[in-house]
Amino acid sequence: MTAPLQQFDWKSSSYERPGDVWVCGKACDGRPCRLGPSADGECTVRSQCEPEKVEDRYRCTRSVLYGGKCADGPGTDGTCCQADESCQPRMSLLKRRKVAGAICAAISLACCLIAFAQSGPKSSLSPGAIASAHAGLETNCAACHVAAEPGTNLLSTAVGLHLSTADSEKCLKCHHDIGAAPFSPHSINRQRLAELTAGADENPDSVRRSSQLAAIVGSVSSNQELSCSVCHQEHHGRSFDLSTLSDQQCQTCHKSQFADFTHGHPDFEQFPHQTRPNIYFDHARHLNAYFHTSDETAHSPGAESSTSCSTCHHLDAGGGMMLSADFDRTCATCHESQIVDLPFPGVPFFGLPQVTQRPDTESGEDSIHGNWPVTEASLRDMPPFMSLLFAEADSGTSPGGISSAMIWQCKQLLLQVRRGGEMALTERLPKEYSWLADSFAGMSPMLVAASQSWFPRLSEELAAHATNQPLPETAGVALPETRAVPPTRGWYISDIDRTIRYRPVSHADPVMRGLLDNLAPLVQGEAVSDELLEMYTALANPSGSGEISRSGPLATGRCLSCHTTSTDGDGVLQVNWNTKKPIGDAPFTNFRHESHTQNNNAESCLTCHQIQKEQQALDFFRPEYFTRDDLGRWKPQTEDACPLSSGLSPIKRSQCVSCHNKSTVSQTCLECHNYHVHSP
Amino acid sequence: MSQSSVNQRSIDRPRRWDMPFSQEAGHDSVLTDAEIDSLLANDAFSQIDPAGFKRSVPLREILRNDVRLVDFQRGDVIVRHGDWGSSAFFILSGAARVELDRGDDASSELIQGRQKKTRKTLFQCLAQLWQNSRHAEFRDPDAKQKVSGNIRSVGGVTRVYISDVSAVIEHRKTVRMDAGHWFGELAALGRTPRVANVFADEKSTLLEIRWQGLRDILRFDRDQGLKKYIESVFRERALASLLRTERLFADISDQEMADLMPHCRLETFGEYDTAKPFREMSGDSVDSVKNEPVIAEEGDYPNDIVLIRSGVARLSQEHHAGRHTVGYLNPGRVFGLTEVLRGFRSGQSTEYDARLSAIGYLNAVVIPAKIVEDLLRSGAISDPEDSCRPVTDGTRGVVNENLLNFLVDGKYVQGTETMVIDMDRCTRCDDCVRACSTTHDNNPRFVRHGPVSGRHMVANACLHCLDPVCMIECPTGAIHRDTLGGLVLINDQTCIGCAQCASNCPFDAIRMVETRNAAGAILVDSKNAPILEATKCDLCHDQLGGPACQRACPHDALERVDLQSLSALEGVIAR
Amino acid sequence: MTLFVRRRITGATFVVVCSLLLMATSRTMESHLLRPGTWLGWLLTFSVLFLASYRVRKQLAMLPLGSSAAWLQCHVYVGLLSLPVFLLHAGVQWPGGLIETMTGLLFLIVFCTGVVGLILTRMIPPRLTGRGEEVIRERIPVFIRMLRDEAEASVAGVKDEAPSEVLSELYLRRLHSFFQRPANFFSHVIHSTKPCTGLLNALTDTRRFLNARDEQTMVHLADCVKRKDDLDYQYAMQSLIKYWLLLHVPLTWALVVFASCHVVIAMAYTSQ
Repeated sequence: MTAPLQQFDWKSSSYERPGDVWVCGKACDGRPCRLGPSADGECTVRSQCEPEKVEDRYRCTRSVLYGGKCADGPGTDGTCCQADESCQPRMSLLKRRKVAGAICAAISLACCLIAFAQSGPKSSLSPGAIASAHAGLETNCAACHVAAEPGTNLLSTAVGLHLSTADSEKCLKCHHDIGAAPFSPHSINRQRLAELTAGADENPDSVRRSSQLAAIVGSVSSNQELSCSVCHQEHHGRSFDLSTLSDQQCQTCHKSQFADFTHGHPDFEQFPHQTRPNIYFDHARHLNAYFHTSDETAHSPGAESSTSCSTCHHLDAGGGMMLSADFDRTCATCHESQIVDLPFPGVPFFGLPQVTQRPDTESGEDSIHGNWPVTEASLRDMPPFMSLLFAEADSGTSPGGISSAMIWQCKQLLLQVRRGGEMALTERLPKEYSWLADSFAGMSPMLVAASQSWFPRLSEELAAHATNQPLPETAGVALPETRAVPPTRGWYISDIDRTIRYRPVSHADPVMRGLLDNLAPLVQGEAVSDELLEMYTALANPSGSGEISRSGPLATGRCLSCHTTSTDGDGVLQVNWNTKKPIGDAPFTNFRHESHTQNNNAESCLTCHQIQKEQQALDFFRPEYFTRDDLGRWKPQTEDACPLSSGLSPIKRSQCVSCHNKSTVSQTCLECHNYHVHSP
Repeated sequence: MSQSSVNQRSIDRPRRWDMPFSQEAGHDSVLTDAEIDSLLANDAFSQIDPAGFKRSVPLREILRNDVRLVDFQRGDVIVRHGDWGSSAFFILSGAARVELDRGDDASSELIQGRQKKTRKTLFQCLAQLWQNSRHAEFRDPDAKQKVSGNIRSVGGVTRVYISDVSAVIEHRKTVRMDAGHWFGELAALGRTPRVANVFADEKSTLLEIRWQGLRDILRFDRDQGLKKYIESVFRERALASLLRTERLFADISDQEMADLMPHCRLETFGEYDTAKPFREMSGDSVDSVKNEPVIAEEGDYPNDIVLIRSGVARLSQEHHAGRHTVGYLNPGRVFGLTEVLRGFRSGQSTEYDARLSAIGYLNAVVIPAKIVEDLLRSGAISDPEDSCRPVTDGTRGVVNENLLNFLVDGKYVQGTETMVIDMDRCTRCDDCVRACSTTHDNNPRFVRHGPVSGRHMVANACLHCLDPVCMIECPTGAIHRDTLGGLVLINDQTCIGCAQCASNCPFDAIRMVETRNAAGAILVDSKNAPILEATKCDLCHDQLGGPACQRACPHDALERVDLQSLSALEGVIAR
Repeated sequence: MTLFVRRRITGATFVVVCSLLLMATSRTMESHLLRPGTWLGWLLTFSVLFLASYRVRKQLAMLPLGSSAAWLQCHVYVGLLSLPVFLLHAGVQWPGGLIETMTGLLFLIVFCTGVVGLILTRMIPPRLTGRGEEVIRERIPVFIRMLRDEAEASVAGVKDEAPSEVLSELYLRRLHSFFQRPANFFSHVIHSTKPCTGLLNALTDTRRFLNARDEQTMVHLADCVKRKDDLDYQYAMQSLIKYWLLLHVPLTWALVVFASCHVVIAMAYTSQ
C-alpha cells in the first residue's frame, strides 16, 4: 500500500483559491508558492523572508510556513540568502475564459456595428433572399422599409414609433391598383364590407376551436388596418410564393368557418340562378322538347344538324367566361320569324278613335265634327303616344270615344303636320317626352299620307269650321274589307282601323329598343302615371293574346317576352338586351370555364350544368313571373331574386368536390376566390 | 482606515488575557484588586488553595481575566434554554429563578427577546461584489490593534428581560436560587447546551466565569471541593431535566423523579481532563473499535439504560473475527431501553443487541433497568408501546456499512453541518469554493479535498461538531459557539494565531492564514514574523440564504448534512 | 424511484410537452395570420437571456437567488427547449445576412456545446471517482513532481548502490519525459490505456536483466508509473470537463450581442 499523495493537514495544504485571477508561474512545474501571486499578478515570493535588523545585524525571519529560518541567514547587507525564485504568474483558466468571453463579445459587437454602419445596400442585415418578383429591389432596403430610409433612427423605429402601415404604403407605390381602401379587408371600403357581412353568422359555434385558442394570443381584427405583411411575408427565398394563404388563414376573420371545400362550404343552391337571367330561356324545354324532335334541322339553331352546347355558347377571349352567341346564330333560327313575320298589326302610335255616342245627337253628327272616317275596328281611345300630343289640351276623351272638340284638334294637328312635318309633332311633345321625337320623326310622313287619304279636304273643312260655315261634303274613304297582313315592316297606315302603327323591322329593332330603354326607368316605383304604364304596356306586353281589353293584340311587345329587366347598380330599371351579365364591382369568385371544359362537348358541359328533368312542360309564362296591377296591367318585374328557371339545375357542390378534394387537385379558398377585390 | 494604517505591518502579537473576559462582548469594566480580594473571600473561592496553581496561571489572574461581574435587573434573562454557553455563573447577591418547563412555546417570551443574529441585509450581501477585498486574507490592522491593545468597549449588551415576572412565576414551574449558588457550570464544562432558562428574580449581581477559567480552577484545586460540589449539583439539578428530555420520563411526577434520581449514576468514559491534543487521543488505527472503552457489552443481560449526555458512542456487533458498526448514539440518545422494554413485555430474559462503546470522551447517565421496570409496573411511567415514535436507541439499520464505518471511525458523526460531496455528481467545477470565497471577503473557508469513502467525500470544511474539540485549549476563547445555532465560529479580532485549534481539529477544517493589509502586504509583528489567524467555515451565518457552498453547487453534489441522525444522510444518499 | 430519476423524467416531460404545445401554438397562430415568429422570437430572446443569466447567478453566489442546482435544472431544460423554439422561429429556412447567419450559427454552436457539456458532466465524474486518488486539478503538477522525484530517487539509487543501468537507461529513454508533465491527454480522453500499458510492459521486460534488488526498484517504478497515469487521467478528464466551457461561455456572450442586434433589426424592419 503506497502512501497517498495528498496530505490534508493545515501545514501541508492551504486553501485553493479557484476564484483568483493569477496563478503561480511555477504551478505547472509542480512547485507553486504557498502565497501565490498578488491580486495584481505580481510574484510575492520575496515577501516570504524579510530579514529583520536587530541592532547592526540582520536576522532571518522566515516563518515555519516557508521552511523556517534559513541555516545561512541573511547577508550582511540584509539581502536574503535564498536564490531569487520569483516567477511570472499566469492567468487562471477561469480568467482566460472571461477574457475569451470579452473578446468574443467585443468582436461580435464590432461585427454588428460594422453591419449597421454599412453605407451601401445592407445585405448583412437581410434575413434572407426576397422573392424573385421583387428581386430587383433586393439591394434597396428603403424601397420597402421605412427603417432603412436615410436619417431614420433604427432604435426608435424598433420600439415602434412609426405607423403600422408605413412600410405597406411603400408597397402601394408599385401595387397601386389595390383599390381605394388597400388596408381594409378585401380592399373594399368598410361600408361595403359592413353591408356584405351584415348577415354573417354570429353563432360562435361555427368558429373553430383553434380560432378561439388563437384569440387568446391575439387576433387579426377586420377593424384594424391590415398591413400587406399580414399575408405577404418576404425574405423567405427566391422561389417563395408570396400570395399563398391557407384556408384557415383565409377564414381568420370569417365568422362562419368550415374545414374545407368538401366539408362545410355552402352549397350553390341558387347559383347560377341566384340573379335574374338576362334572357328567359328554358334549357330543359329547348333541349328536350324542341331540339330533339324528329325534324332536327327545323328546330336547331343555326340549322345545324346536331345541337350541342357549343352551338350557342363559346368561351370568351380570356377563356374564363362562357358566352352565348348572338341572336342571329342562335335564337333567330326559330324565333326571328316570330318577331317579323307573324301577322301582328304593330304598336299604334296614332289613330282615329271612335266618337263618343251621344243619344241626343243621333243625327247630323257630321255637322258637329265633319269628316271623321272611323270604322268598326277603330280604337276606343287615342293611343297613349297620341294623347301625349294633346296633353296641354282639355282631354276630350272619355271611355268609349273622343269628343268632337278633340276631333277638331286632331284635324288641326294633322293639318299642321301636313304643313310643318315632324316639327309640328315634336313641338307639341311635353319636354320630359322629348325622347319620343325620334320615333315621331319616322311617323310624320305616314301621318301626312294618312291625312291626305282620310281627310282629302282637310284644310277646307278646318277653314269652314273656323268660320262656322257649313262643312264640305267628303266622300267616304275606302275601307278594306278585312285586316290584311301588314304590307310593310316599320311604319304603316292601317286603314281598317284608321291607325298609324309601327311594326318592328327585325330583332333588336332600334325604335322599339330606344323606346323601351327610355320608358323602363320611368315606370319604376309606386307613383307611375297611367300614360307611362300604358305606353310601357303597349310596347312590352308580352301576352299578345289580346286578353287585356284596352291594349288589344299587340304582339310586337314581345321584346320583354325574352329579355328580362333588372335594376342596375344605381337602382335604375333597365332592359337586359345582352346575354352576358356585366361583372360586378366585387369579383370574389374566379372560375375559368376553359380549364374545366377540355373536350368542349355537350357532355362536359352537362356534367355540371344539368338539365332539370322534372320540368317537362313549357311552364314558361308562369303567372308568378309577371305581376299585374288591379287593372290587369302588367307591371315590370324588378326583383333580382326571380324564381325564373333557366331549366338548369343548380351546380352541385358534390360535382366540384369530385375533382376538388383532398386527394386530387387543390381545394383551397384561393383556388376559386380572390382576396383583393378591385378592378383589374 | 487612516492612510498610515494601510501600509502598517508591525503590530503586537496577541496573547491570552490580552482581552479580559470583563471586557469581552460589550462588557466594559475591569475587576479591581479590591473586587478580586472580596471574591477570594467569598465562599465560592475561599476553600480553594491558591498554591496548587501554576505560576503562569495563578488563581488571582484567573479571576481577573476570566471572570466578570454582571448586574441584572429583575426579570433580566441570564441564560436561555438551548444556548451554547461557555461560561458558568455564581450568584454573589440577589437571586435568580430557573424555569423548569421545557419547549420553545413554554418560554415564547424569552425566545422572542432572543438576540437576533446579525445577518447582512440584501444590499450588504450584494455589496460584497465590489466591497470584497482584492487581496487574500485582508484584515484591518486598526481593528486588530484596538481589540488586542487597549481597554474599550465595543457596543452595548442587548439583554432580554421578562416584563411580567410574577406571571411567569405563577404559570410556570420555576425554582428560586439564592446567593451562593453556581449554575451553568455543567453546560460550560460538559460542552452541552443550556438546559433551562434562568432569569434574575430581583436585582442581583452575578459572577460569570468563562469555561477556560473554570477548567483551570477545577484542574488546580487540590481538595476538589468545587468539583465534588458540581457533581452533587448535577444530580440535584440537571439530572431531572436531562431525564425529562427522554420521552419515557417526560410525564413522571416530581416525587417519583426524586425517588428515581438517587439510583442514577453520572458516568464518564474516555478521557476528559486530558491535556493531550484530541488528535493524539483519538488516533486513527484500524481496530479503534477494539480499543474503545466499552459501556455495555453485546449479549449481556440489560442491567442498565444508558442516556448519552455528551460525546458519541458506537454501536457495534460481533462479526466473525471483527466488529461490525451498526450505528452510533449522539447526546440525548438512549441505549438499552428497547431491550428492557422487550424483556418487560415478554417477561423473558433478554440481552443487549449491540455493544456500546465510547468514542473518545463520553458523559452519560446510567439508569438501572430494575428501577425502570419497577416504575413501569407501578404505572408511574407508561410503556411507550402505543407511541408511533420509535424508541430512541440510535440510528441502526444504515444502508451502507462502509460509509457508516467511515463516518464513525473518522468521527464525522460529530458533525451537524458535515460537508458531504457526492463525487459521482461533482464535476470539480469549484463553484462551491468560489461561492465561499465571495461570501468571505474573497477568501475560501474550506478546501475541496478530504477523505473519500466510496463515492462520498467529506471535505475539509468545518463540521460544526456537537463537541467542538477545537475549542479546547483556545487561550482567548476566540473560537466560540454562536449562542443561537450552536455554530462554531472564530472571532478574528481575538484570535492570536496560536494554531491550537487547527492542530486540535481532527478534520483539518481549520487553516492558519497570513493576514494582509489593504495593500496586499502580509501583516507582520515587530519581529517581522507574519501574523497568522485561524480561519474556518462559519456556515455563512451572516449571509442570507444559508451556506453558499451548498447553494452554489450546480449538480446537487455538495450537501451540508446533519449527522445527528442518519436519516438526513440517507436522504442525501438515496437521491 | 430516486429524486434525480424523477426529476429527469419530469424535466424531459416538460420539454416534450412544451415543445408540442409551442408547435401547436405556432401552427395555430400561423393559421390565424398572427405571425408566431415575433412571439417565438421574444420567447427565444428571453430564453437566451435566462440561460445566459445563469452565469450571473454564479457571480451572485451571496444572494439568496435559489440554489444553483435548481438554476442548472432550469438551465438544462430551458436550454433543451430552446432548440424547438429556435427551429420553430427560424423555420426550415437558413437565414441570409451576416447578423442573422451568425445569430443562428452561434445559437446552434452554443446549444451543441451545452449538450456536449451536459453529457460530459454526467459521464466524467463517476469515472474520476473510480480511478486513482481524488485530487484537485490545480495541484496535479505538484503531485506529478512528487512522483517524479520519487521515481528519480529510486533510479538514482541510495548512495553508492546505483541500480542497474538497464533501469536508468529506460528511465532516460522513456520515463523521463513521461514524468515531466501531464501526458497522453487524448489517449485518456478516449479511455485508451495503451501508453501506460506500453511503459509497464517495457518495465516488466527488463526483469530478466535485473537482480532481486533492482527488480524491487523496477516494481516501485511501475507503481509510480501507474500512479502518474492515474494522475494523467484525472488531469485529462478534469480538464475536459472544464474546457467545454471555454467554448460554451464565451460564445454565449457573442450570441447575446448578435441576438440583441437581431432583435433591434427585426423590430425595426418588421411591419406588423
